Amino acid sequence: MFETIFWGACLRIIQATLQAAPFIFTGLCVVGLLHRMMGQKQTRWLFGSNTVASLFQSWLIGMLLPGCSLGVIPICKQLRRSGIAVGTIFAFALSSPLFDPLSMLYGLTLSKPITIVAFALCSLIVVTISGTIFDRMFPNTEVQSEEPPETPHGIKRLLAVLVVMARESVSSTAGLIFIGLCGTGLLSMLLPAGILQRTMSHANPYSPLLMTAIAIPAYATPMTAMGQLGSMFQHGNSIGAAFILLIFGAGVNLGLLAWMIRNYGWKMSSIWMGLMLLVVVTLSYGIERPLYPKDIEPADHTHAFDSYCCPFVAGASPTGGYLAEIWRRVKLDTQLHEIAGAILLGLLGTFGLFLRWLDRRWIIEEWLNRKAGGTVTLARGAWDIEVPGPVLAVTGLLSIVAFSIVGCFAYYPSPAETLEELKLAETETLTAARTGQKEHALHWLPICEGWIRRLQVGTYLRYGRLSEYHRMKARVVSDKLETLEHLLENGDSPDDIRKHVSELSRACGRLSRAYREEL
Amino acid sequence: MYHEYSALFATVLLVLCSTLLGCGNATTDTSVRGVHVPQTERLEHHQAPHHPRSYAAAVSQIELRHARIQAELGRITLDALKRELREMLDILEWLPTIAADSDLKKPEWDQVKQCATQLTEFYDSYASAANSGHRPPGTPRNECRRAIESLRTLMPAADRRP
Repeated sequence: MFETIFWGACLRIIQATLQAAPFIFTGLCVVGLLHRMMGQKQTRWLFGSNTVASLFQSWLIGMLLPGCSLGVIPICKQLRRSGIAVGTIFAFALSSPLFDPLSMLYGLTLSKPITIVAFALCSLIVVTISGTIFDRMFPNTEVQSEEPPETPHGIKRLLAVLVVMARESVSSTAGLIFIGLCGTGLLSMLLPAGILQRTMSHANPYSPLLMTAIAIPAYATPMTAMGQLGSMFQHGNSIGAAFILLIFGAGVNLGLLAWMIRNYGWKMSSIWMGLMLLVVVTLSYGIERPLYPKDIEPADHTHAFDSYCCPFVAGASPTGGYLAEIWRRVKLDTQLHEIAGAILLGLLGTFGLFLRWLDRRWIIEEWLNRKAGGTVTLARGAWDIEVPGPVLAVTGLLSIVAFSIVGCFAYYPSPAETLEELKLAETETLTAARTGQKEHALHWLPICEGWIRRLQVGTYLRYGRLSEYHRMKARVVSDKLETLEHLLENGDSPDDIRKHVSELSRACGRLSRAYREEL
Repeated sequence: MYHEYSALFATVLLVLCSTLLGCGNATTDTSVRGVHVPQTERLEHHQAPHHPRSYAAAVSQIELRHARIQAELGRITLDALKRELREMLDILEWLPTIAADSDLKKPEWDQVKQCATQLTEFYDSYASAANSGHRPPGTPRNECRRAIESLRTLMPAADRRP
């Protein structure tokens, strides 16, 4: 049993690390820009501090910048160094991991987009109420620290940003991120496989409270959280629990809490957490009835939280051993942008360690900050102008936002392209289900579901709308895919499975026709 | 220094506790979404007994129930009426999804949606009257008959299998 728990936790931590890698890298980019380009004074201007307006500013910046609760840790450290009040930092820390353009688009194409808009507004209420009360209770939380010397413009300034990123990647940030990742391992140790499948029902008044206990140590990227919300809406689960999953599951993790405790002490951190719990849980009970979808037949189970539980069953070790199984699953689940993020982080970390070693002999910042000597001035062209650091920093931040928007078009391809991919996945699934290859079918089922979601978002992105008819067509296929999953996992008769496969095949054909011919 | 290590200590403590408390699992297992999941009970989406299986069945049910409610409005008990109305409203709510699982094209589906909305509004007023202890007036509007007729005319288009 110990093996199951141990290897299960290892797998969960590896999966979370890979999911977080692109967001941590983005967070480090933001830190580099704020530290070397923007400077402390301008950062305070951008985010504001100790006012209600600053809470809104931070919330808005957080909503625009792509991030996750682990990626915001280095940014929070930088905001603190810039002398920003704790309420404002927490407002950013909480809002940044909730939404990004990718997940927001995903959310807006769910059956009730109004729910996602309401969740976004509720998150603003949460940060405003808890931030205002907190800043009133503790008005002097702005830390004064020395502004780093200015780096001369040119290539040195760009290199200085890279140096900050590299140093930050091997600083205490790495430890805090590891603590955050341990939260997923911890949950997997505490929760046996599939134990949450019959929880979080709309009828159970304790669902939001149970979700609070699970979501705080959990780690979820904005897309993961949004996918889980979609699954919760599809299964008619508690809306309050879904809101808590978004706020605490995506917004908070153990690493962020450890950073708060380390910098602000137990008392302040507990008061902030208490305020957050009070506001979030109250709101979650308030929205439970008004936002609950009425046209859903609630299912008695959900798969949304399987990823928080232990991935292995005690006493049933995988055929090729745990290590082989972990490798197989990591290979299957990891996406291209996660691999790219992990490689970039690895390179940054290596550079950071190299700089640490180099510090014993030569400190690179001394060279970077040194102004060019001599009095020789070269003639400058009309276009060779000196761009101030803050302008470059704002341009950099806007580029990150623009890049994430452009990324949406790549992640959510055009309907025609998506239908081709869906066709491939569908053929694999249906053939495997028809011929009794259960494992193969179960592997391809979630891929089909993923493409159906992308089909809707891609359509919405390109046409600016998604009719209820098209939503319904997609929902019918998703529901049938899930029924097939249950038939397979319940070991139903081949005849029943074949009959359902034929229905599913027709539904897929109708879906394809609707998105090809009726948009 | 205290603050620096307290968080780490709390985390380590939680990990140790969880290792000791990590509980057992069910006996048999299966693999779902690449995750081994204990299989103690069947996982399925239960459908209400009055959930129609197809568009044609849904329209027949609506037609039948509409006629029955109008005919027996003054005779059946208030509780039975409430149950009948609730089931009618359920079917009307499911109708757009059921229609989406048919061969109806977009304009036809939009028509179904419109008819379902019209009938829902009508039966909602019946249900509110019944829930407040009153018997609804037994005079169905012409629009209801027309809506049901319209739903019926779409039945051949809902199954275009050769």
